[in-house]
Amino acid sequence: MPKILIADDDPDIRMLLTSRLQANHYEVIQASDCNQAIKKAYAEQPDVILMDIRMPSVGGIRAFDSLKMYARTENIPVIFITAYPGKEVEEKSMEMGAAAFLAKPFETEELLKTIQKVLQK
Amino acid sequence: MVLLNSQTVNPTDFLNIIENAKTGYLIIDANKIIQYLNKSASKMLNQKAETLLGKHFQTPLGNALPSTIKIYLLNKKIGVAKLSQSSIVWQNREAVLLTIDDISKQVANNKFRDELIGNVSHELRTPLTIIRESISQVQDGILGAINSEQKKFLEMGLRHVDRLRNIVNELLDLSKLEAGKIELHKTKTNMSKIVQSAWDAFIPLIEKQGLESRLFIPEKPVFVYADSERVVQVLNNLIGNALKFTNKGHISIRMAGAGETLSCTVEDTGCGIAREDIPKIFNKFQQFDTRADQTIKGTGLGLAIAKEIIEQHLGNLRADSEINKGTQFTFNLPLYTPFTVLHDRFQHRTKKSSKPFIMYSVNCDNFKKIKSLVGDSFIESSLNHLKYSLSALPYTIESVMPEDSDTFYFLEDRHPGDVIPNPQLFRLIKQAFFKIDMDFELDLSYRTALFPQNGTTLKELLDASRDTLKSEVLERFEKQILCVDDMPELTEELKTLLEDFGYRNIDTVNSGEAALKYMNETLPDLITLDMMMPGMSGYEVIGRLKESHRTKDIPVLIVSGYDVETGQFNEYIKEKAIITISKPAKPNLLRKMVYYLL
Repeated sequence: MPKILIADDDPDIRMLLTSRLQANHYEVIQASDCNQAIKKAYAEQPDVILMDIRMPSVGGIRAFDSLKMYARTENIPVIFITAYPGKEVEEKSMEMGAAAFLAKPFETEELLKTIQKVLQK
Repeated sequence: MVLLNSQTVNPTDFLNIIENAKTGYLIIDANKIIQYLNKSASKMLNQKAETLLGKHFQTPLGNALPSTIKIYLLNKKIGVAKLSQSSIVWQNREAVLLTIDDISKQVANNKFRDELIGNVSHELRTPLTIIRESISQVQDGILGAINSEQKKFLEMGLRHVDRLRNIVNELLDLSKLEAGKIELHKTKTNMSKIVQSAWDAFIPLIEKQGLESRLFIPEKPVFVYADSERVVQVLNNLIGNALKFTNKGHISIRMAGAGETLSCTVEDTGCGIAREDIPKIFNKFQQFDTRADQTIKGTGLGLAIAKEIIEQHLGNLRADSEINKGTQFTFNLPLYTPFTVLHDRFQHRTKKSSKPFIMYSVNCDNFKKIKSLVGDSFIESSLNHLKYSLSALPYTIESVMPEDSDTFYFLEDRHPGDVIPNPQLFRLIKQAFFKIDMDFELDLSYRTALFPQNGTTLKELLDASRDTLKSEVLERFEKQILCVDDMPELTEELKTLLEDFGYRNIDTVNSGEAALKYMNETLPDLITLDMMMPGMSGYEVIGRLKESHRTKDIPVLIVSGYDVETGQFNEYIKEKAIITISKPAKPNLLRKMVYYLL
């Protein structure tokens, strides 16, 4: 069963994503801040990380950079989720090394398809 | 203000009225001398009336009349004012009344509104995600079975969340467009193709609705200068609207390119719009959807966005309609020409800043002839090469390439003290066409105009540039050439050859030291240089030239009997300021290279 780490500071988003992903037979672990996200990624080696990125602040991006610094975590694909949609943000995310990009509010189908695609790579 | 145009008003009465007005007023006579200003004008310009009266109008406001200016507000803050002018009669003579309207508050309000819309739409996204996902999980039965009645209600919830999402997205899109924050990616766009494919996507829907579909596009492809994705967005909106409001008859698209404009009309035989409502349909959140039984409405923003997109392409969008007969939406876009591109680049440049720049129009008189000789693909690759070289220059150049015309346009940031076009620009043009060996020369001539000194609109600049026409072809032969070789008979031979080509100012020296001494007094436009000379070698001469700011840009043509080791001048050579040919110089090659370097 593929393991997914959800990194988001909003407990409601974490709850909803967990419920949806468990219903689709994924194992889910959660992190509510950047430090936790890095620690859990390191310890639990998830197959995919869903990470909330707030483009104006550095929080998510710093966590992302830290993940890329450790050999144990650098190859885990990270899907960016952001409330700042737009071509430019998407292009920038992909340039930074994100595995995929989801703009809020996303549709369930889109979320599941994106995760599948990233896992297949 | 109507009163002012009338000659019957007593000037004294008039002044009494406007002296204490909130709006600033200036009266300027035909000689551009300030004859009058009211209290508000003096405050806004932060200058005493006595200081300005009788002065030339340039003093406070500059030469050309901008549409807005900075003004001083009561609290010493800087504000924005709108300038407008009207012709009046002042003391029985023609004069100009200049009106300064403080629009600082409106500008601040607009800015606040844009920021608000931007922030709010971001803030709405997370709650929307949560609402959407929670409804959707209940509906999908993840949390237990639900009955069909419950499912129906949840579906309704989802539909409206999606509508809200569309509104948020379009509101953000529109506010960004209006604030000029969206860069349109304009390119040469095949409009025929775009219309055809947008139409093809709608045909099944149109037919499903039992309507007839009609498409009229010219046989020859029509090109516009546009952001194709955005134009597709407009087409989708217009065709989608037609589909929504039409249940019998036909939907058609008619596209035509005439003169300098493309026009495209989407016509339906639907319910139509009342005459008095037509001007309102482009407003935000205007809905004229009176159909009963509509489960999902549009966002009410589509047409406002479409209009904004078309206007940012310097086109216009309008509607004609008759109730119960149908509606036609027509938009115009400028056809693709080098001039359209120039106009767009010009607007782009001047909208953001009033930084000075030079506009060059470089005319290549034999461009068409060359094109017919070498073929389109060669021209295209040369132009691409030129574009690429321009992008590597240390200053900003925006270029517009000729297609069927024979004029290249360039807008270049102005450097202090620049009065003539940068020779590098011409070298690049020639270089682009010299990449492949050719037996012709480009007859280049150029015109220049400075923004904003010579004009603040494109038309003014083009007019001004007409006066500065200089023929590079003739000027070239006046250029100073210095031939350096230790053998006097060789320098004489070179001189004779160059004179045969038409060059008139050629000097010769017979040592490196003499060359440097010569350049202390005269700066040549080109040096031909022998590398192997007793005393100071050619290498040393180039080294010394590079050291001095004064001489580092002088092009050098190395004419030498040996294979020349030029590795140490790589950087210099990269700029193509050095070219090597071997002795004895073949006249044809020499001619071509001298032409190219000058």
